Amino acid sequence: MLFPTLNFGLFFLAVFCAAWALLPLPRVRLAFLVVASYAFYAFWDWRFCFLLGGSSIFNWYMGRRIFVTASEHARKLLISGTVAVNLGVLGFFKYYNFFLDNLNGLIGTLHLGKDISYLDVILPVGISFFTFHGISYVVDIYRRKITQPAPLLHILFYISFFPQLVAGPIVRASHFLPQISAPVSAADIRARRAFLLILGGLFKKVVLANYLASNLVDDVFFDPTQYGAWDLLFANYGYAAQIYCDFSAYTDIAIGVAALFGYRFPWNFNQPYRAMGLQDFWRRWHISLSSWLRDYLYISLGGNRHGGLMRYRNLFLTMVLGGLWHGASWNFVIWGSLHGAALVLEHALCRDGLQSALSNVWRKILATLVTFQFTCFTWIFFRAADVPHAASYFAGFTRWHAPLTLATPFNLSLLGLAMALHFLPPDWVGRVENATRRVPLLAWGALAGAGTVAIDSLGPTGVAPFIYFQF
Amino acid sequence: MSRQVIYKQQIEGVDGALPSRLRAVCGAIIAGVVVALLLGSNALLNWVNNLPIGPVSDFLLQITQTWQNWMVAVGLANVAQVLANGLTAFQSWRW
Repeated sequence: MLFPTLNFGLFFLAVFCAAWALLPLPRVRLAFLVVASYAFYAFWDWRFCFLLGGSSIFNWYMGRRIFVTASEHARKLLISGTVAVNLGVLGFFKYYNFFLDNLNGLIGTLHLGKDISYLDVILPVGISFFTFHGISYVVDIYRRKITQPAPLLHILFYISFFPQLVAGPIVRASHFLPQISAPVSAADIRARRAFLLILGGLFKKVVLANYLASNLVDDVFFDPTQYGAWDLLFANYGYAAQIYCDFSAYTDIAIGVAALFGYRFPWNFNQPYRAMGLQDFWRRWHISLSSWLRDYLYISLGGNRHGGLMRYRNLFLTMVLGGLWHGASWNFVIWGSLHGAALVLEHALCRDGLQSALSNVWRKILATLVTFQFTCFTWIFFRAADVPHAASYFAGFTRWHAPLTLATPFNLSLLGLAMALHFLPPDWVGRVENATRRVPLLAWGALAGAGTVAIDSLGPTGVAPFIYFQF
Repeated sequence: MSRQVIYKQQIEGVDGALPSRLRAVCGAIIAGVVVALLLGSNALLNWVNNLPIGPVSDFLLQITQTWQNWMVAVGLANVAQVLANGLTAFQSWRW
């Protein structure tokens, strides 16, 4: 069930009414939201509800075990085992065939015998996200960021809450569990902000991201040999805009929907293409994932505790694994490695990041442009079907004699509008809210209804899934 | 003793947003649904047409078809169509 569909609209209305009707019964309300979230998940494949439930129960149980264990050595063993099981399950579903593919390639090259047969493994939607939520809970218990192990119902809700279940944002356990324990107030629903985020998200996804994909990006990435360098460059920028619009739309809608149920999610994007340097970029792009990788992977690897070289190694490894998290493909390994290498270089040249080392305004502009261009080029690996496709895309940058054919007024407008929305001030929603605070909420609702119909009629036919669903 | 790790505070998406009461929010959502029904009768009919065939969907089809006819008669069904046509014209525009 995708957000920009009538199915989801009806599902949301039913769950919204029931959840608020159950306000006097907090435990029943929570249980109801868990059932609704599992129903939401079952729309893709009901069999994976057992995986989701099993993962939640396992992490809940191990959290309790870690909490009651006094010996530091035993705690360490328990947390290592728990994280290994979580990653093992993720690895099986996500990387089993990728691993076999490479192993069979090696066996073939070395003439070692017969290939190992593949398994028909279906990738469960959102497995990366709910696994990371589970790991966040047990690690937060281990680090004593959570002072009490949470009841099973709270863990089931934390891991499965439907707005963030399939594509984030990745909410830290220590951030979200206190919200579940606290009573939800019917007098404090941030509805104006929610309406703005949902409408803005729908527009970014249905109109901008979908048209950028269908009119510009998909064809070029399908067969880059058919296009000249200017078209390739234009489509590359188009993809940079598309992935931003697509993914930020999902998280905006998720934040808005959660807010209508009385829960608060963190921001996930903050004008990422404005970044001066890659450290800055990763503080602005998919913030919840980069925070997760820093808090649970980089620090666990040792962080910056053992000197410069180890710090660079940890940074590089974190980015490579972060790349691999996106998908079982060498493309993502290369994408993560490029970001890792560039981050290491940036750290080596200026310890506190490029941003703080630059004083001159022109240098800042240059740093922003270089960072943007680097990010765009690395998106080619991210978007291309495989490494040969990415290579032929790059090879196309020699064909500068071919004219630019894809820059139609419509495509240019899409790209311009996407970038204009990206460069809106970070507090634009707050400003709009303040400027329209005298407008009654009823009128906001009516406008939201009209806006939804307008967006639906402007969008292309059919519903394209969000890019991050595949991760 | 495990090492103390300090997490950076995450900024929430609804920080500083104006609070509203449930009654007002319900009113706003009802208003939104009514406006969407008035303006989006074409989309509603398309959605019902794509439902699996059965007695419930047949019944829904009758209702939505009648509703759409009314909206066409009063001119509200055309609003979304005008927008869609405008965008299609813009898409086919060349330099």
